[in-house]
Amino acid sequence: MAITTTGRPEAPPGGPRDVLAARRRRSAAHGLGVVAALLAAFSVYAIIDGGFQLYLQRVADGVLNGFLYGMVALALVLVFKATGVINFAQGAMGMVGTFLAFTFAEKWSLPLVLAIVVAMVVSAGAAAGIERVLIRPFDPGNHLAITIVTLALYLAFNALAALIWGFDPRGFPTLFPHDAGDFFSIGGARLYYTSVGTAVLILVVVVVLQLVLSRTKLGLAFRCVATSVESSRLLGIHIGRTVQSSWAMAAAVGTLAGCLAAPTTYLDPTFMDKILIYAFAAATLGGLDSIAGSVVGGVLVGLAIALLTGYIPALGGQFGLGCAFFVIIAVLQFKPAGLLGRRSQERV
Amino acid sequence: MTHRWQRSLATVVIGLAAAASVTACSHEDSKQAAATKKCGPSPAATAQSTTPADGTIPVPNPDSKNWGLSADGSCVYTGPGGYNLDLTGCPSTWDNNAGITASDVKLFTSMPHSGALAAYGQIGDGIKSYLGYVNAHGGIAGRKVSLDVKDDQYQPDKTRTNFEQAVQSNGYAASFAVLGSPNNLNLRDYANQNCMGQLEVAASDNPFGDPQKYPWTTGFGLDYYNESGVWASWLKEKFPQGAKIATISIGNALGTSYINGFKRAVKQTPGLTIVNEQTNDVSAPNVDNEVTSAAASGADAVVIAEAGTFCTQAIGAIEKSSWKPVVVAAQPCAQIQTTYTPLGKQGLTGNGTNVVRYYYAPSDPDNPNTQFAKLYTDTVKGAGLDPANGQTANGWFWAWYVVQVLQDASTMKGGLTRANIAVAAHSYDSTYPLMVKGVKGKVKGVEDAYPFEAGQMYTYTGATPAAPGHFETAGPLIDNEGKLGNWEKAQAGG
Amino acid sequence: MAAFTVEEGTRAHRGIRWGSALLAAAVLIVLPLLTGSVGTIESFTQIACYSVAILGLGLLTGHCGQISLGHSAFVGLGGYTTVILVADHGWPYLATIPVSVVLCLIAGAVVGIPALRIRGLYLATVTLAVAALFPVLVDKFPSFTGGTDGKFVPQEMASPDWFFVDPYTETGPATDHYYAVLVVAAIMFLIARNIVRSRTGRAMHAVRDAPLSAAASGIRVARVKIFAFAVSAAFAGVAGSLLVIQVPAVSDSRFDLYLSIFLLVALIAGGSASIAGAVPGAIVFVVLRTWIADWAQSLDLLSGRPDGGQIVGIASGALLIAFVFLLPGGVIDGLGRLRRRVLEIVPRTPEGWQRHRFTGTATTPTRPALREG
Repeated sequence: MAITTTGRPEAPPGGPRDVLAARRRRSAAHGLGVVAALLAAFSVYAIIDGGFQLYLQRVADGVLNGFLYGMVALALVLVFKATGVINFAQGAMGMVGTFLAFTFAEKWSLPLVLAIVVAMVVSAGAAAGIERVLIRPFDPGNHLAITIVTLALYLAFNALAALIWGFDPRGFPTLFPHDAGDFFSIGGARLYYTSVGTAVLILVVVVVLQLVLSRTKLGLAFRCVATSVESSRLLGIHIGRTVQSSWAMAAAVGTLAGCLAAPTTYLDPTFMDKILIYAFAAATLGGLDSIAGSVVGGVLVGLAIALLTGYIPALGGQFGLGCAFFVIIAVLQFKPAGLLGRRSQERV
Repeated sequence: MTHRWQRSLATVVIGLAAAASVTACSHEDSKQAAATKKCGPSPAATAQSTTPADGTIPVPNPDSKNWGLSADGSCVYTGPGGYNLDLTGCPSTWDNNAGITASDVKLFTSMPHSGALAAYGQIGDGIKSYLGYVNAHGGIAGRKVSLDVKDDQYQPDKTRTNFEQAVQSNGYAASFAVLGSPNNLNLRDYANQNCMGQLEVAASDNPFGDPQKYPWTTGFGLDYYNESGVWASWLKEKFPQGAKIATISIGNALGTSYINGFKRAVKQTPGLTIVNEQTNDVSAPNVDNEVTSAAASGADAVVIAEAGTFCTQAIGAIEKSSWKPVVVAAQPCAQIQTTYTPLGKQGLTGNGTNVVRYYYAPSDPDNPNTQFAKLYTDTVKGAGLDPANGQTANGWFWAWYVVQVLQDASTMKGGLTRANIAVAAHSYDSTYPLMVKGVKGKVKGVEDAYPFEAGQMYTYTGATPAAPGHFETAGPLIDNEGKLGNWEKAQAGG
Repeated sequence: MAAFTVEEGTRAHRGIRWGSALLAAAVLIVLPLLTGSVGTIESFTQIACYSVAILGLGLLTGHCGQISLGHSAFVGLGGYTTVILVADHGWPYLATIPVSVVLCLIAGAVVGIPALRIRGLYLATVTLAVAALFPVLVDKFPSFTGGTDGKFVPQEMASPDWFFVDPYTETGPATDHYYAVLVVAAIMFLIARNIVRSRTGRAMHAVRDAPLSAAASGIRVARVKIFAFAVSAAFAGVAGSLLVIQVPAVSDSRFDLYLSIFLLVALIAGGSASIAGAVPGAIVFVVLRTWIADWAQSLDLLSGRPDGGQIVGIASGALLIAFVFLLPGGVIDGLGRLRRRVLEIVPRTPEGWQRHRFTGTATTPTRPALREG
């Protein structure tokens, strides 16, 4: 179950001699290139088939959904990088966080931005607590036991939210202008300010996280723990605290993802469950240990669903998930660690 | 080692053979022993009491006394419209008075109380609160009614297990309002083989109106064929020169049935054509892709056969887009609180969505019967429930007809027995106090198996992002009473 | 130190093994006759059904190291095969099991092909796709599968007349189903035990522990992996057929992704690399899926609240966490430790070992690593 990455840390910028990193970059670029070429080819067919306006609208739908999947995938990746485990409760935690933001905004009439920030902080704190109480007692190598704990958390959070907030769907306000005329019109397709704003915000988060994890000591500790728990311990890295911070960051990201998704999906205790499966797909496609890969994977999954189900009528919306997985299986056949993930190396 | 193994096997085989031969005869005895319980009339109720005449509790149908146990002493119960129930085929241990004593009637149901669809379980709580009111006012001809609700998490196999246990316990007169199409289809054969009433099921699917094949099963509510028939008639009136229609439906039993029914109705309505069909996966996060595809067809009207948040998502996405079709939405998308209010946060309203209504929720501002609404609110609050919850209100709607059936059965020949309950579920004619004017709940044996066959289109209007709106009539009552008949006729007509 | 120590392969050891096996068989046979409740018997039947599915998953995940989240689809394939053959073609229930086995062997082998290249959680995603697609495919072919309405057999399985259970009693049919399922499950356990002890079983262990070394020592890794997938799927298919014997109804929601996840949870809770672990795993499964709901309802923990059923989720979560904390290695691991306090089984010392002994080193035999099949 463990995927141990034994690649070396990234070379300093401009460092000429890191052959491994260069090869990895080339391989990733190659993979992305092939996918982009296939996408372009399909797009030509799509534009001929249904016209440019419809194509643009489908791309806009797919990309926005993709960014949302990518954001949740990002939360999964954060925990995976530090622990090697998929947190099945990630969606449920994000859902509870979104409900918290909703409650702060409605009941305490905080401004929305503040409500979301407070909810992110609260969920980060709660996740740190959960890690300390429920995850740390286990040997970090006992992935099966930790996975069961996350599944248990998933059950409990879903039930808790249903008990507190009920199943009636609620509207969740959006951070961006959303009046009747608030959209860009490109070739007749509508690009809403909300969608653009959401996508930009997610990109900013990804860039910031990427910088934090590649330029700070915390990031180094992350990579070290992910590579080898044993060696990290010898190097004096506090493994528990590193894992704890990954949980906290993931919970904050998950809550933000929930708050950004809720305006399009509406808010009820199951809304993140649905996204979680796609997010899992996105994380796998991008590479389970790659921050940037999660968003790339998310956008690809979103696009694949929007375009394939849209232009191949025999499939229809019911096969949305099927299309996504078809793309993933195809990609994994050529790149078994995802588009941007690091291939694990084995030693006998 | 091998020897011991062989010897033990031989011992087991011989033992089994001996046991089988000893028990072989006793099967026959037990088979014949119970035949006498089958056709007996019900025990006389201990307390006789009259129903208050204020219209809050249904009164027995005066015709009921002509139906029930046959006079010739055979094991056949008869009702109107060619409905006959022969009990000789029921299992040998079957008891016509199971769950019925001189003072009590016990009913059974199974619905989700946990899991993702737990919200629907509140129908059961609504039913219970109305039964509580009935019991406090004399019960059913002196008998107190109780309903046992089992949780099935909307899993058909769990429903089946619950139901089998209820049948085998021999402690229930009938089941009412078991929830879900697949769940009920799963039970139908079992229920009919075991002569357990599977009555007024909480699924508006049309196959439940098939009294010839399944005399122990009845459907309830405005069924999908009739509802989509109302859509088609209304759309024809709105577009006399014809219209192109797109559909967006959820990929489960609900969506499939609605679309099948609508296609049938469109076929019978010249001028209407379905130009685009979109179906979304039940696990999809939203329906944006489907709305974009449907919009590309440029249809004049769109039919939304969704449930839950998908309703809100579809209505919102259409309102945002540049596509301006006439929007028709299915029953599950007709609740102001759950479907339309959430739109406000996105600066949307849902105004202009058309739905079929055939009864009011007590909390609807346009409900004319405020007296019954007040009774509802007080009783439900007294039971610790939320009167604003749509499912609790639905529970009262169901409970009214449960009580109607029991009232009718009590006056039939042979009294309140399980067979008479089944006859009564095929013969009521009763108007719930909150019905839209002109709609009534009427079934008549095999001839008319669908209780509600009329509805009126309403348009949701007057909403702003800050405040919810209300429904306004969008046309006259469309009444197809008796036209659909039963499932066999419905299939033949399609 | 254990109170008793028994050497492997001795008369006493054989006696203990056969004695406990016979005792277990006797308990399993008498079990349904002791209770008068249909619900309890059906729960036993469910445990037997799911234990076969968990056993199959264990062969793949526990013994061969390949994660699968797609087993719900194989269980579903078996279930649908049985329902379709019985309802539409009038086959007897038990006769459909070989068909399920064949279909699932093929399906499992096909799903196993991506596993040749993809590993770990990436493989989990691929198998997840199978689980997610199964309900959609079922809905796409309604004439065949019943579509969204599900498919049902009107007639439950009936036992032949010579059988000693009286079918005209309340518990009769349920008891019949129990015995039928029990016999099939017992056969499947024997097969699994033999597979694990066979040459292929050893090869599976090698592939799990060190794929590269396994390949280097001449094991055809690809063939072993595909074999494991196929056999595991076949076990799941049998479980599906058995589940249909218990309740003759299938629908898309009976075999959803959650079934897969819960099977994996049950496998880990029982003890992943252990044949016997499938039984406690199945008990955990049935407790989580059905019993807790019943208990919560009977206790009425949140009385007056109509959504009180949600307490089930919280209780299940708490139970699982408590479980993992108390028995991090699964039930079988815990039971094994308990047994070792009373009875230690040590491997037989090779004959004539004294001749090869180094002089002057009086070593106490180290505790052997026990991995019982």
